[in-house]
Amino acid sequence: MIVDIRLSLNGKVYLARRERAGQITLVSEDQEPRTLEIIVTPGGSYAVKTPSGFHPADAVRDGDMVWVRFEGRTYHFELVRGTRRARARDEGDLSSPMPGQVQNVLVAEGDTVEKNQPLLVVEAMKMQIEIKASHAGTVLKIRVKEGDQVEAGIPLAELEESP
Amino acid sequence: MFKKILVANRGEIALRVMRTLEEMGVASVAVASEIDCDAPHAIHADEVVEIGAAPAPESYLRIDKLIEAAKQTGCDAMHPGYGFLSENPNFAEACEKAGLVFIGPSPEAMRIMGSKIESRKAMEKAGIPVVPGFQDDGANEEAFLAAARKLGWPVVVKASAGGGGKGMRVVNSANELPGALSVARSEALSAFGDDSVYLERYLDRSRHVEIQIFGDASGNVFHLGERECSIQRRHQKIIEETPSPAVSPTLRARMGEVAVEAARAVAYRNAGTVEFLLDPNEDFYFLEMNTRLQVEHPVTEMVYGVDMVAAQVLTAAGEPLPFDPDRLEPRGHAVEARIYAEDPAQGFIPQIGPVLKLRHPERPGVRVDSGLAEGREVSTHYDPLLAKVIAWGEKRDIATRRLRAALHEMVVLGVNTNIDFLSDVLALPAWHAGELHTGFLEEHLPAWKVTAHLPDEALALAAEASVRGTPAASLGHGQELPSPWSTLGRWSPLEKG
Repeated sequence: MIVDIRLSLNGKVYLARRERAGQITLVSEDQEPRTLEIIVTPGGSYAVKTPSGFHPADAVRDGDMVWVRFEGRTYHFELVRGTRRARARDEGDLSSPMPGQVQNVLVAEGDTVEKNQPLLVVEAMKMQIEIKASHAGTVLKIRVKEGDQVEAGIPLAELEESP
Repeated sequence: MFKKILVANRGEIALRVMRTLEEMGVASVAVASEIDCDAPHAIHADEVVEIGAAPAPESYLRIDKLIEAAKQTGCDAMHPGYGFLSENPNFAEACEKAGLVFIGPSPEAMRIMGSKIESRKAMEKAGIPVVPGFQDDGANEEAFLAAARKLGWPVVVKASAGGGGKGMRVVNSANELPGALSVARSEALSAFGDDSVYLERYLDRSRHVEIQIFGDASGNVFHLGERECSIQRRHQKIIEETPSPAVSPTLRARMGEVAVEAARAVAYRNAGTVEFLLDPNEDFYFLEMNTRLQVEHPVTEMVYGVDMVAAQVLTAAGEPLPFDPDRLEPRGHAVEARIYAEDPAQGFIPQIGPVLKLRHPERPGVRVDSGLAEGREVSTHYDPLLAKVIAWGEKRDIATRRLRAALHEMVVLGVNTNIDFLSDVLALPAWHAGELHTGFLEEHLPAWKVTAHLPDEALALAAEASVRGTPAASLGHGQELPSPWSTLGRWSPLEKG
């Protein structure tokens, strides 16, 4: 399940996207997106992977607060409203989680597809987001074409479930 | 030697006292308020007695309940720790009356030194220099004004019955005095039940230097050097060290002699501390005497190689000390940082919250006295002092580096603390230069803010933790083995092939 997260610290709001467990992509206006890998150690704390190795760290969530201790500094974040789970792919949503532009349409109406087969690629915030088939079935409708601007959360295609 | 001692305190000091008692083969009894029944000090003791509701006046300050608990459990002595009733002569007397040995000085010594006005009188009588001041309970506003003019501005109004900065006001000119007197009186009344105030000349850029004294069982009074405690906010110490960068061996000998004189003037027994203000001319003035163990005693213990609590217990039991005071050889340097639940970015307001994640520093030359436990709540009922981290080094800068490294690895999440602030203070060039005075923090770090820079890693961690919560240790123990994964610092996978 992909989750979009908004955290505030010292009055500034930051955006992060959790692609899957331990994979976080940071998104900001003034920088390229950066993806970081976070693992859980056997001892039950976190570590962040960086070019120079794994940095141990601690982080806990308490309601809307998230505390982090990293390299000898403590950070006290607050989760901001608007953090939501991007609609799970297996709910059949087939929408882009972020506003962007359709880069590729990979299938046509009438095609039979497998579960998780990529149907479209949307470029958003300088990231490529694959919209994958939520289940095996037939492509009923493709609502967009290459170059179209899309909003977040609006279904871009329709699938009919295989019997 | 005593068989069983009741420790009339809580948190890190109660634990620390009990650890020494355990080593000495003396049983310990803890007292706990309703919310402290699962506190570390209550769990550690051999026995625990619940003594009432959370607020201190209903529990830890209840002389009757403490005596009752001691009698009920068959204790023969009482250790008061510091704070609470440790400087209350009525408590010391009540213990004596109940047949319990009070581990500390006589009630008489406590009475004299406990009153700022009485102690100043006693010092003046003994020919010991005191901070120039004016004391007269019957004085009216005009008399105070005349006295202040004579002392010279600025002056400070202080409460006779208390400390910790309460009932204290610095006054820079005549027109500020009436207001300051009035505010100080009302603050003193509500904090100590006594609105007597007195004036002192305010010694600017002076250092708070105190001498540890000790009166042993045979009546011998000696000192164990000084501690510099000038790093203060709201007149409360947060970083202390020994030796003081400003005290030469000659000055140490002079101050030590005067402190011992002061203690002898009240026939002092057991541990005590004489506090002085040391001005830039190496003139020092008696400030007050604390008739108990001090919070910052660990720095003295580490440099002098002694256990002050053991010394206290032995002395109270009439036994000799395990060291010869004339042969004490201080070695190296020790610095202590006090970890408080407070927000340094918001005027050091006390903080509350759950201790969600805790890791104490662990490295050679570092001592941690802590009352913290993961899963407990920090509340406003008690002093927000959570823990003390003390580092020893052969030299001052080694001790400083070691303390910073210890603070760097300490983790307290779930409640705001001053850990990062302390780390920043110890990184200041002025700290490194030893240029300390009681106005240090106002001068060098008046408006500390949490770091603006946010590393990507910290943000990514926050994002991951917001979804995953707190990862459970996969070892299946449920809690807290200090794991090498988190304590050894950075690691890299080995290259394959």
